[in-house]
Amino acid sequence: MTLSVHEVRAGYVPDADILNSLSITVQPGEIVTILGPNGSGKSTLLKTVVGQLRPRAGRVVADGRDLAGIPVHRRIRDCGVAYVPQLDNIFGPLTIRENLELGGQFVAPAARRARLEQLLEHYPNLGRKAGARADSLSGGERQMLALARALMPGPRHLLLDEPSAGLSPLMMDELFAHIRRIRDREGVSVLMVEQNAAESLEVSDRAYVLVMGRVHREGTAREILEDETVGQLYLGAGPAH
Amino acid sequence: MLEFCLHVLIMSAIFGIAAVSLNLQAGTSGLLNFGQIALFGIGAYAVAILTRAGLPWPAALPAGMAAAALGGFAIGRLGRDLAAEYWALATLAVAELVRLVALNEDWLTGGPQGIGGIGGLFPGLDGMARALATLALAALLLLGTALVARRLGETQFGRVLRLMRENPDLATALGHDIVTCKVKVLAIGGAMAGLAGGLYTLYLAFIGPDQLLPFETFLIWTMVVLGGLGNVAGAVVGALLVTTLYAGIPFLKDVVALPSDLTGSLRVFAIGSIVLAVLMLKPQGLVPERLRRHHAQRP
Repeated sequence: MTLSVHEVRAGYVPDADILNSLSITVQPGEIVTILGPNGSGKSTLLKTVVGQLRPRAGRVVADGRDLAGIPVHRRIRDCGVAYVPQLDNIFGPLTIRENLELGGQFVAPAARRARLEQLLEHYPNLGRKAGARADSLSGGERQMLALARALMPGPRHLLLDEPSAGLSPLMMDELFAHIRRIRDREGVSVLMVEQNAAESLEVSDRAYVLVMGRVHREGTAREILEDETVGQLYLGAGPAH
Repeated sequence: MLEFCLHVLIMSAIFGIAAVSLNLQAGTSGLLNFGQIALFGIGAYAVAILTRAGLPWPAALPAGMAAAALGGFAIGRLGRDLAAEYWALATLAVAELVRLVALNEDWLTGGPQGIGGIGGLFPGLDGMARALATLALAALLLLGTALVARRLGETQFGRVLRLMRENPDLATALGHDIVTCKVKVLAIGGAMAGLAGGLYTLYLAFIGPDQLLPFETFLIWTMVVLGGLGNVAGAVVGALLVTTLYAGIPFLKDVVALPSDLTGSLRVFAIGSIVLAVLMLKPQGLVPERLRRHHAQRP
């Protein structure tokens, strides 16, 4: 149940690697945060794991299975990977219920219905508005919907690209607490790219700091939080915490 | 006059089917097929060739649909790795390819002269009765096609198609194989366009390469854009409007003193002007899609 990236090199144009022999590991049930300055390759790493970007070298392995050559939709359907993009991650014109159904289309109908009702119970705010259009939701509720939808097929690995982007501080705290609850309840491992370092590290088990597509620092969330150099150089103007 | 009206209605129904087909591809699924006339033409020629070979039209028509569905499948598979804009250009090229084959392969297509003398629809009927029966058949097939397209749009598959149109990356991130979705839509749309083409051939008892010019694709696009991209009813309304204008404008010369050679240009000018006016004043078309009507509300 481990998700790992081994010595991966990847980029968008030939001969320009964004990820330079990068390796990370996410153990079962772990929340791992990827931090780093803009352009360090954080989102590129997630795109490589999910299959939107093909690595030039190296391997992505989920639960012992090499994902090379497996297209995005197959990784989502068959390999237990779920991905929540940073922007435009809900389909606004559809209702909340329809959005959830879209996420569970490959689950058997009876199991899909049961899962949908279960998730609507876990997300009472969404449950109360299940028939409302998704674009009527607030920013925080949209992120909750995107998360709930990603959980529809029962993934083992949840990839989140800056889930707190654009949220108020209050919503952000609620979202991170919710991510921890998801991990505890569903038993999924979470690989999360974040800009809000201190807040995301509070709920994480471990973290990697990327610089220029390489792992600059790795450790437990506490170690990264207390590392002043990391805080000053890569996580903001001062120490992260 | 009644015969003319019947003719306009029959042509509206036939092109209505082609417009519903294009609407499924472009309006619902976001596939910019600029080669719609190729699918129409494949169906038209297949029906012409098969009926000339002695096959009765009720058997030739489904065969024409199957041939056009295969054409749609091939276009979808061939362009599966192309970006949307390049795929759109490729469809234009495919349409020209089909027309050039029709123009040059005399042994099969009759070359520039096309295929004539096709045993048309309802040979046992004459005049008005034949026109009425043809109209009833065309209207019935349009209704069936529209219902299929509408039902398809309401299914889970239809939602995926709309998601693919609005946000293909998200569709993929949810585990949907958008290449397969595209191929399926093009095959279904191809079958519909092939039905329109086959009906057209049977009604006019003729098909030739001049009927497969890129301008015909422009006309079908005009119908869909005028009616409202993404709305089945809009495509039908657009087809009726454009066909009526296209057929009716030449009669202006009987009302206003116009040289007859000007009327051909005038109808193209008039349709172009109406399209521009609709795009400026009502860009979502005369009968907008429900999703698009609410699109502006999205924060």
